[in-house]
Amino acid sequence: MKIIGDTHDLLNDSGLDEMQKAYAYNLAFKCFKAMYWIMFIISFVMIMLAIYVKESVIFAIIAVIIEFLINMIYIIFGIKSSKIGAVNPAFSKYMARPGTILGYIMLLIIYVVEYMSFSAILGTYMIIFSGTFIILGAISKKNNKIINQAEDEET
Amino acid sequence: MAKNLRLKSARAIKDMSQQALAEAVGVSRQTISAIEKGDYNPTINLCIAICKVLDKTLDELFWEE
Repeated sequence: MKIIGDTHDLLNDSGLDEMQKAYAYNLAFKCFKAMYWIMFIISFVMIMLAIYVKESVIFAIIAVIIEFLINMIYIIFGIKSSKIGAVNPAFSKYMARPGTILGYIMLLIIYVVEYMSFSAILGTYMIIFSGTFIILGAISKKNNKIINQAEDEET
Repeated sequence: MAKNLRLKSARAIKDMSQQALAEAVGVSRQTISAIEKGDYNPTINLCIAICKVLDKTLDELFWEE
């Protein structure tokens, strides 16, 4: 019996040639972006409803888990693409600024102080949110370093 | 992107179908069709493979004046 996996998967690229791969990867990038934002909005709405309307702990925990997972994938994407300096240039320039990183660190402190006393789950959610951006700041710094190194090697 | 009529005619001179050329260079027929229609910009490796099969140079098939 064949188990559904490698060959019976829509997201399997084996057997595709370069044109098909280029098209599929481009499409996958757009789908990934859409999925990220959809899941982010869902988790945000869920946590707001859970905390301010329903006060449902399970609902809030699910929102935190979703937020954590999508941000992990987002960070892995950032780490992998920064290895060859492929992070969006405008984004990495903005995120690598000392002021931006400092801003997110301040935000993280505010979230810890403000939300942790009000709701630990909401606090965790906000920490994941701002923590992600601090990590992205570090990733952007690495990305810019790779680009500068490549430019130095050229000259 | 403009249609690549030079590729189409070079293939016709060799009496090769899109399928035959695709098999010779290891891609799908759709890819050859997309290159000829100007819908896909092939990699240099694929360009070289096509040139070798059709006995043409890169300039003759892919250089745009």
